[in-house]
Amino acid sequence: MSRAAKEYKTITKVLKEGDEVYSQLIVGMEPKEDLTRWEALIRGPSGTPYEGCNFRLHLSLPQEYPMSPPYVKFEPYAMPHANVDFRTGEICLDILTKQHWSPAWDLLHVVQAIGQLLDEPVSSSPLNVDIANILKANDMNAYYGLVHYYIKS
Amino acid sequence: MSTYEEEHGLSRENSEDARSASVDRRETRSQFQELFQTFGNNNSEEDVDNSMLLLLLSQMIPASLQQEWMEQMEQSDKKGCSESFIDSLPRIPASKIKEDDSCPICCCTYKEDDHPLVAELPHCNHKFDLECISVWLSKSTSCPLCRDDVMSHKPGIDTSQVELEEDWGMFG
Repeated sequence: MSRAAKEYKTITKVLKEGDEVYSQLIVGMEPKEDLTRWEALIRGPSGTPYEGCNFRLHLSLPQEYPMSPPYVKFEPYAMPHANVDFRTGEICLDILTKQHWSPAWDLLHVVQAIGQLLDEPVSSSPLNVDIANILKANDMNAYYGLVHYYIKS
Repeated sequence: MSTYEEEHGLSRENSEDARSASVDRRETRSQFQELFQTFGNNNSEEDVDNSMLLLLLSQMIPASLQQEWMEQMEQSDKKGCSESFIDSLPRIPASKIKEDDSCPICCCTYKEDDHPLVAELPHCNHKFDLECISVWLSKSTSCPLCRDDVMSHKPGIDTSQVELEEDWGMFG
């Protein structure tokens, strides 16, 4: 059985049984058309400006998966985050690069890492310079305000 | 043949007024063009010396760019383990594989296969299907589970037979 099929089994099981770690974060996660394209809906972590909102992720598996990392994006024009390109939804996360990826990781790990990124933006490697600058200045009011402006409009 | 200056509507006098660095580059370029005209098309002739051509070509590439390329090449050399290293990984005998042990890469239990080929990485002792880990190690040198650099544990040089001088390393 292919690796993607194994993951499909694990993911449906984890979501059905309500895993402690993942059910906090993942609202839903399922393949689209075939097992190479997935969609996940994640909950904004509490204690962040994303709390109370859900965000859609698009994951696609390259032919070489798991030897190469999956491509993961947020929906375009939906995610104001220091490490997300607002226009394309592209995510800057080290484990999603070829150098740092490990074939022992799976889609659940990836989604978990992205949830962590929402919690802890890295302002030193920004794809959204405005938000990164606000974070560098440690202006939490402006940070919450700007994020809320985008996700609630 | 038109020169660089002619093609760009420049006169020699003007280019001499320009910064000396760019003049150098232009001269190198036209020199290169001449040499290429003479030698470049005659690859079949073995007695043609292309070293001048290559030397000129290398002068035309900025030093910073050359350095960058060299670094890139070193990095791509570092990628992956040699085939002989992968072949030499110790195998785990079928008797030592537990029923529900599975390969972290393909997530298949080893015993699904009647004759599983399981390999173990040196030092960190993590186990994988030989097939899976071979593909991974052909482009990386790290253990998928713990990131241990498998190539960093090259067998040390045996120094036990080497007679050490009493004052080694104690000069000055």
